[in-house]
Amino acid sequence: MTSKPVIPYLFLLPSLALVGAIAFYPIYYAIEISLYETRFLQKVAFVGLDQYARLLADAGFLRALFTSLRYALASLALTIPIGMMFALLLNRPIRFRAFFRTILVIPWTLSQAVTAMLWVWVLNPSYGPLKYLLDQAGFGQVVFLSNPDWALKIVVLVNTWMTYPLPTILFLAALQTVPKELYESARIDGSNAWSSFWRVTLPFMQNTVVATAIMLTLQFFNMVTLIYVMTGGGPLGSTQTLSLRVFLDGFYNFRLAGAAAVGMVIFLLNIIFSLSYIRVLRRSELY
Amino acid sequence: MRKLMSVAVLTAVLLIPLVASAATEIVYWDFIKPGDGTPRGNALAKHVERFHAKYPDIRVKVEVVPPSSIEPNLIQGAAAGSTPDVVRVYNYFLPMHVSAGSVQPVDKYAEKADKGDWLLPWSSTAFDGKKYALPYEYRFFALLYRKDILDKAGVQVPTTWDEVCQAAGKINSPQVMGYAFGLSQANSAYAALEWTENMIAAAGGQLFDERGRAVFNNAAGRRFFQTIADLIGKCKASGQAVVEFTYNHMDEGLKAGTIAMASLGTHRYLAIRAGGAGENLRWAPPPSFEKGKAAPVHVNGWTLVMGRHAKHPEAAWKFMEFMTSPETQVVVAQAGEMPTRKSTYQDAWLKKPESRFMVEWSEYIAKNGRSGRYPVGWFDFGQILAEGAQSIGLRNTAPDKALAEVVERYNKSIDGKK
Repeated sequence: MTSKPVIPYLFLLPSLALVGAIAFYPIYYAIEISLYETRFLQKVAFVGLDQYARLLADAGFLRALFTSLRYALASLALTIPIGMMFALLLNRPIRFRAFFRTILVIPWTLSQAVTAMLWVWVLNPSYGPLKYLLDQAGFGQVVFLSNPDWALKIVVLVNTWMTYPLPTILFLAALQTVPKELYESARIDGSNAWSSFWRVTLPFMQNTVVATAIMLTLQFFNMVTLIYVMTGGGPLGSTQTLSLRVFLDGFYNFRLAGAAAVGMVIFLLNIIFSLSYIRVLRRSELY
Repeated sequence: MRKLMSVAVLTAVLLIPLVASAATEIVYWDFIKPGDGTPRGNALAKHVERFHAKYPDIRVKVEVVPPSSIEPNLIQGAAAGSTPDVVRVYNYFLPMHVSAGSVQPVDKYAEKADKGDWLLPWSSTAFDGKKYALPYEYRFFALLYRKDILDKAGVQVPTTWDEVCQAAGKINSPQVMGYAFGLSQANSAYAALEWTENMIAAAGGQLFDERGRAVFNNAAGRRFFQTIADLIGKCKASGQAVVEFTYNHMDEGLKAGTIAMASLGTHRYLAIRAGGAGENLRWAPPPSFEKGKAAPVHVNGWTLVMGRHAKHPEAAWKFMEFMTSPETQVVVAQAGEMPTRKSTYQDAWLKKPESRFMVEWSEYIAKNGRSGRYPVGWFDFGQILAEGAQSIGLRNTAPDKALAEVVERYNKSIDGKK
């Protein structure tokens, strides 16, 4: 009769304790606090699912939810293809490849706050360089972040500009793992560039693409600083996302329980997104 | 001899840290880094140096905390049982800290303090009869304008809001905004908040009652919201871009000459001049709603508070008292901030012609200054207010309707908390 080895688990225990303290305890605490009424940082009374019921009745919450989805999915829809495009270009034996690889990564080196301040300056309707160029082109007064129909689109574009280097680097690394002989075989079989990409490159990079999509979706859904600095959630609340709401409610309004409840909604959505992507990955044909 | 010298040096090396550690160390949170090269940074370094010279047994450890982090950090620290000794807190947030229990009253230390030598009454930073803060500097909402732009357009400095509408409407163009105000939700909607509290006061109303409920859905509120509509619509004095303007937008616009007039805090006056506007930037009293009548102003500013769990409260009080003493306040004035002590204005430095503007400011607030009422939900109010005011320019919402929605929405949000 063989006994179960205990020693491996003992070795794992410190890491599990650390992960538990850093990851699981805060989640537990957030769930707990969302079931209470709070005053500043103190629990006042147990109210069960009251905080969640209030969210469902709050038009602002539902609007923020849709804004979050639009922001995350729109940013993803731009960042992944752009990242892929640059990865494919940088994978070719072009001149000054190293130089282009360095230049293209620069947006990623800037923090969200710096990126936001940079673009707020560029788009400034009084003295920004874009205003100057539009004036020269005869367009007159054009406002971007003041327009509630445009503000979210602008923030999505800025986010794309800031984020595309990450998928570029990841896809570039994944491209190195695609066997060259497959391209040769495809060429012999009469494949053009597009069908080579679709039938050879993409299936081989599938895991990387899905993992990147999961990572970016979670990042975009949880993003606060860029939106906070660029628009503060305006104009007319058109750029207020759930994560921004959590930040403002938790750290400025000190509505800890309400913020925790919204945080739990974000957490659940993150899990749903991740599981959905993994499901899509498992269903697809794998080499 | 050599041996004796070595022993002496060794003894000194061992004793000096002991002596130094015998000094009391107090922790002071400020958003300004001492000696960072800015006027206020250099002033703070000077304050600390002079304090150390006056109180050699007390050391001040300045910890730099970004302004937006002071409130959450102080409240969280108090909940965790650990706060700095002294903190620089903006007056808007004093009620929040008093309510959260993150600061302590200083009455027992202030028994012998001079309570009469302040531009505003001693009670201005007292809550429920207890004194919680000492005002470190003051500022108020003045009309800052570019003289060169007004002269070029041939307009006089306006003294009423109707005159602002006319004058700014004459100046406004795609290149230069006639009158700028900020309605952005970014930067905690400070620009919108500061403008609103002063406009409601000028219109003869008040924002909140004692319970913190919004009570300006009345003639004063309607007057203010109608002014927003007129500036954007009827007079075309301001562009739609005001919807995204923050404090910094207006500051930089005045520097760059792309904004002709704006209502900003006086603390930005010298910085805008130094930043490019130079002698072209002037100040005027805030416009009123009635010709010939001075507009009341809410006097705001940074204050010094004692943390709830201050380790060395007596030493902390000495620092607070020192920083707000008439002598130290002269250095505050030299750094471009308005002193809070009446006697400071008798100093020779403030008698110079180039300091005249600061004396004029003190005279204005001595006659027309008052303290505002800032409920715990002040930040939330700013977001709701900004959104409501934006709808006037973006969705052509009737001013009365926008006003009613702001007041109702804010009061509902307070009720939701209970």
